Amino acid sequence: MIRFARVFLISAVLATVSFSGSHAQDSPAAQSALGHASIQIDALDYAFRVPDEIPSGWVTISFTNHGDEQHFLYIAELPEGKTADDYVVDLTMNLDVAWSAVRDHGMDPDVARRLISSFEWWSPALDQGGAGITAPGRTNELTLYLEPGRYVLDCYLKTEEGEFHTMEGMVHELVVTENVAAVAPPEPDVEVALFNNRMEVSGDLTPGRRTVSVTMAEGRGQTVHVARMRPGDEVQEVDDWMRWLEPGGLMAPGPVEFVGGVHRMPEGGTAYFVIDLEPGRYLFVSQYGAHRGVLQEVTVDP
Amino acid sequence: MTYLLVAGLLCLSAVAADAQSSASARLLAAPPVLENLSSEPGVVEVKITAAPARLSLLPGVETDVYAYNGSVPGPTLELTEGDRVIVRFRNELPHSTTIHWHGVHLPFEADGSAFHPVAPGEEYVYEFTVHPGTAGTYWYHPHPHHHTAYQVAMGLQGAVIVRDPDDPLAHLSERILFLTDNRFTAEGAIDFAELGSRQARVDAENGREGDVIFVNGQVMPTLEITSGEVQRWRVLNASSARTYLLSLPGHGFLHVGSDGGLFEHPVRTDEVLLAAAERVELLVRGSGNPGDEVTLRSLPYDRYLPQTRPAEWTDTLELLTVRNSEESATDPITLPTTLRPIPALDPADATVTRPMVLTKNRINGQMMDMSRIDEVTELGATEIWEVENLVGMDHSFHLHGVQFQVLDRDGEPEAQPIWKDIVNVPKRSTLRFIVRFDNYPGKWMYHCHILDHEDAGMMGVLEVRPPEP
Repeated sequence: MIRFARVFLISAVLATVSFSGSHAQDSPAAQSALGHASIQIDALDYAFRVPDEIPSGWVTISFTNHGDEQHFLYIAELPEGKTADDYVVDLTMNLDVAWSAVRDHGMDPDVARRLISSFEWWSPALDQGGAGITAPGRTNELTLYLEPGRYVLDCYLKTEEGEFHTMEGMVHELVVTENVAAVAPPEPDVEVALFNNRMEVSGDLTPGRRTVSVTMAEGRGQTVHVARMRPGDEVQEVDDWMRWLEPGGLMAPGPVEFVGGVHRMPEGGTAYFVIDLEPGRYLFVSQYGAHRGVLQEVTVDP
Repeated sequence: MTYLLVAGLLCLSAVAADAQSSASARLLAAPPVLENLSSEPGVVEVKITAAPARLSLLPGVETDVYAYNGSVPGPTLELTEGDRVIVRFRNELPHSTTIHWHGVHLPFEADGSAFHPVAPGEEYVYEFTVHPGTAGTYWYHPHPHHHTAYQVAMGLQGAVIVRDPDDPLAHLSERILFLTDNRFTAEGAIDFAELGSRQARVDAENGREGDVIFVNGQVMPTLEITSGEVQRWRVLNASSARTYLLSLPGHGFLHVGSDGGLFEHPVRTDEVLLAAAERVELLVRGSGNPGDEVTLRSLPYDRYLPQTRPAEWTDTLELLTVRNSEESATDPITLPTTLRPIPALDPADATVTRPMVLTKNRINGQMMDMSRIDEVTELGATEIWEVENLVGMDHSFHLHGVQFQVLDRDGEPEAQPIWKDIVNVPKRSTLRFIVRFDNYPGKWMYHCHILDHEDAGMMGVLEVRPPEP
């Protein structure tokens, strides 16, 4: 399932993409910033508008947030016989028990974590990436590799009341077909290497549109969310907010505006996203389990 | 041309009856009918009072309810096309309320929406004229902003029957089946979930469903039919949220009408889906031996999100026993193949396609704001509305004051134009309907008719404005 950052020569025809809603049909294959067809996925408060199926291989997704709250796109493979409904019932509702204990009863998160019961079919190995946290009105364009199969899409950020967006309706099943998209991975300007407990950001961090590659160099499941840091924004506050089981964790509105990134990377995987860098301070930060301090602050000089 | 209702079609099941239980079963009774206080031909004048009452909804138990004229369901308003209607309403409830005449084409001031609340102790007169061509099965219920689900659950709802003087089915024996559900405490009080409880969360998501199903306020009553007799059933789903998938086991219905009256052409079917607030007209033919019984059932239908799907959703619900009477069989009857002409509204006349995107408690990303106008159109305009349900549960979409025709569902065209004022939009699907805004300017609500969703804000306002001079 995992593909590395290598040039992937694809000769197949562009797959036919069918859409579940006519709004999606309006732009079935918009031109991406990378110069090839992209698949449009919309986030609303609280739902995804998603094509019924998309091609496999390297695909470019334009993830647009039409809502009032920030959203991300988590993509995970569904094992044979499992559905998005199973994902909600077995995983999200399970996590919700622990989170509710923290939110509603003030339970210590480390104690609450023990309320999460294990079950056999879910594994972080099912992570297949996705779009990082994207502020309202923004589009996050990412390129990633997907094998044919069935996937679940999820946004598990939380509302102002602390409800997982998943539980509010932001979960969707997606079929990735055998048809292969005519997309090649782009040449990156910026490279992010993710390790279990650290992150390295390097490359052309000057103003302008930049393609960022993200490689899961060690372990799996790490994310990269890029925050535009305004004067007064605190790195620690952002890192704290990333802990989903801490009070206030992942709850709207969020401490900063997120402008791009990729979500939970598969082991050894590489994905790309596009970001318009302006002079100023940025924070590249990971949100994964209880890991803290997997981040790097970047200053873009004029 | 005639359509022969052949013997064997729509036969009721020949299930051997349990004589003892049949003898003790309660026969289905129609709700009371509102008395017409006017002696003037063509004028219907009635009085309705909403007030607290204590009634026996369950056998042997008294329950505090809200009732129209002291009955649950409320009395039926019987009208004929062309009637001038005057409803003198008095609110003796401890809260503001309204009477919304669901599906009836009438002036804005008579719609009984949340824009015209009637305060406790106040009176309001609803006046309208029944338009020709609108014969059908409608209903009335309260529509106060944020409190509709509560007041309906407390018992406020009733049927409206509009008759056509030239009704092609007038010769058939007719039954109203007014479906509601409710939940009760052990003491017999109407049971509302405790704020913050798991049940409150389920109710907010699914809409409040009850575990007791009523037909005309009765639990599992018996409807009698004579072998060979064809009955016309007007079935109203007045439940706050529950969807019924109606079935007579092993047999079928002749589906002849929907929210806005008769179809042009009848449709044979084994099952009929009836979402919250929808109505159907069905023809059912009795057959078999005296005493034979069959149960009208609601089959499992998954309209739910996985996280709040009830464990018992796969249960089949029993609604009504249909029993062959002791009377002798009647002869087969004939029905016209065309019940009435229904001109299809022409999409070429539509001036706009208006998107309606449904997500949790939101339409087009917004929750209801009484001070906001969400959409504007001009009196006389024809429009296409594209209703897109993006979430994993069904929503029922209702537009006040008009009837519309569904054009297609996920791109599949409808078989024939029929008049509707509410339509079920299944999970993750899109449908389009066409509508013309004739006669009445004003502010018209559109909303999900799962009442907890409506109360939570899944509603918007369309203002129909007179043409610019």
